[in-house]
Amino acid sequence: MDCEKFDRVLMDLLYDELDEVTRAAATRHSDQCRRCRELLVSHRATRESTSLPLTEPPDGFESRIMAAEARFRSHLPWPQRAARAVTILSGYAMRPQLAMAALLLLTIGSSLILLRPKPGSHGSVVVTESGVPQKEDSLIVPIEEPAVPQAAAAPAASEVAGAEPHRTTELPAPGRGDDLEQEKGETELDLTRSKAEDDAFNVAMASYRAGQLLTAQKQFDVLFHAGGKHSAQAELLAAQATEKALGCPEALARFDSVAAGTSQEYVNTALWHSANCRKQMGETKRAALDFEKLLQTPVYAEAAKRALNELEAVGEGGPVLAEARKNRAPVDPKSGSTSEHAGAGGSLGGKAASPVRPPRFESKTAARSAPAPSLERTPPKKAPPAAVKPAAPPPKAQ
Amino acid sequence: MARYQRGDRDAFANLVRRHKTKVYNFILRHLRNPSTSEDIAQEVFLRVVQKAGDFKHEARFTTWLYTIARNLCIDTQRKQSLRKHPSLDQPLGDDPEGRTLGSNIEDRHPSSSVERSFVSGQLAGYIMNALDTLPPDQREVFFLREIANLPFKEIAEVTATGENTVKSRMRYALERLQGALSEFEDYARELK
Repeated sequence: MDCEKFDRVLMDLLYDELDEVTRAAATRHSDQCRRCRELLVSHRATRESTSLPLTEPPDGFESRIMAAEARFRSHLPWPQRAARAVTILSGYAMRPQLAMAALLLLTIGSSLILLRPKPGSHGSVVVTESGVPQKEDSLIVPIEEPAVPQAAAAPAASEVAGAEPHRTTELPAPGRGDDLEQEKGETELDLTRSKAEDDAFNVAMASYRAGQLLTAQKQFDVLFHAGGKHSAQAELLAAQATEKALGCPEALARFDSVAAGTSQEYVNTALWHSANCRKQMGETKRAALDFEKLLQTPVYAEAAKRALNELEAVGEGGPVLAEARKNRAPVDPKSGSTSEHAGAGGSLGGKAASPVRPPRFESKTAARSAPAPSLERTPPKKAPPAAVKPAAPPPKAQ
Repeated sequence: MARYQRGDRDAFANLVRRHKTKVYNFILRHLRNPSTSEDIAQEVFLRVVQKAGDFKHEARFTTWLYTIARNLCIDTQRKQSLRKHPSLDQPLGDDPEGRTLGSNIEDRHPSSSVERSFVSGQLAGYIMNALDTLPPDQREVFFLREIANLPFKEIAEVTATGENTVKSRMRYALERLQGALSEFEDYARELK
């Protein structure tokens, strides 16, 4: 240490505010340096000489201060008193014990809130639902049937019992664009469409059996125009419903239309009904021709033969019947059946004209509710009654 | 102070008991009037009571306490600025023969020697006169150091100056007092 540095630390050395190292260095320097030593000694002597005696404050000084303090506390306005209380409480809050206790409580509280019971460890959960469910219009869109005219499809769909106005399916999720997914979607679409057709057919059959013939007629018409798998059958059933509801004049064109079709399964049935209608309407010539055609079919041959006999018995038929008689096979006089088709039925020249019972057909779906019903034809076993009656329960015209 | 902030009045009583003498003397050296000094000293402690909630323990209590005392002294001196400073020989009361400030601050425990008592009284007068001649900033530092016994760092905080400045002021004050003492030594030598 040199004199200049000694001068800087002189006051600290004099009032003992130096650290040990600096004080030792300063002391060593003052021991070696006369000037600095004399400086230190003179200042130390001055300090000792000028130490001022302290005067005691007057008596009662402390008590007056405490009294003033008490007055101040008693006259403290409530906001300051509240602030003082807060200060006092915050002073307690700053204690480490309280801080640790608060931290512990916070940890326990957060654990109780965040910890959940394990699955199955709690009791049964009751879920209640209120309000009206809304359709997810954004996810479900109606699918239009491409083959059905919209005007015809709409009433059909609406008349199908329980059926929705539009069949719906889920939209494919974004990103599913590969072929496999597309084929899967198309398959599901076909299944959905087939199911809807079956449902519509069952509904129409239910209407038919319930005697709601006009409704059934419309529903079958819709199915026929839709061109699905039940199209041909629906056309025939629509014609039958028309016949029962409105009579032969209205139904004849429908039967003819079916008879002109390609589905042999339904052509003969339609021809049978057409012939009977013509018979009732007095068009015996055309009726006889149709019955003649039916003689070639195993199912309707016997019934057609009896119908022709009836026409002949009442003197109708004319040259057509004569021509037909030539081509007709001989009938067994006992059984009344032809040699080709032994069975129920009278001879062409029978004793009494028995009513012709039309072939009975019934949808299998009515019995087993199968999705795709088919016609079931039942050939006449006995002599049919005079009047043409359906095998189904007698429908009532609406 | 922390205990008093939590509402412990005994802690405040301890604070008053511990600091009242130094605070009172610091104010008395500044104002030179015992009555005014007593009022100001009480006001200092009352300020402590009033502002106890504001004390954040960022500084030492003594620093805060002497900052209040210094500010009150400055305010009081400013109010008394037009007044003439009382002399050490000025009577403290109405009695012209009564006690003076010089006699009030002299050594209360003089030796039995009459000569020594006389010399001590004369020395105190010399010292007080020498202190009166000090510039106010040097005198202030001297009082804070010698009466309040504050370290230089705290004095710097109380006076809002640098620590080296405080040390320089203290050194100048001591050197001035040293000159006054030299004169007194010469005077005492002449007396002998």
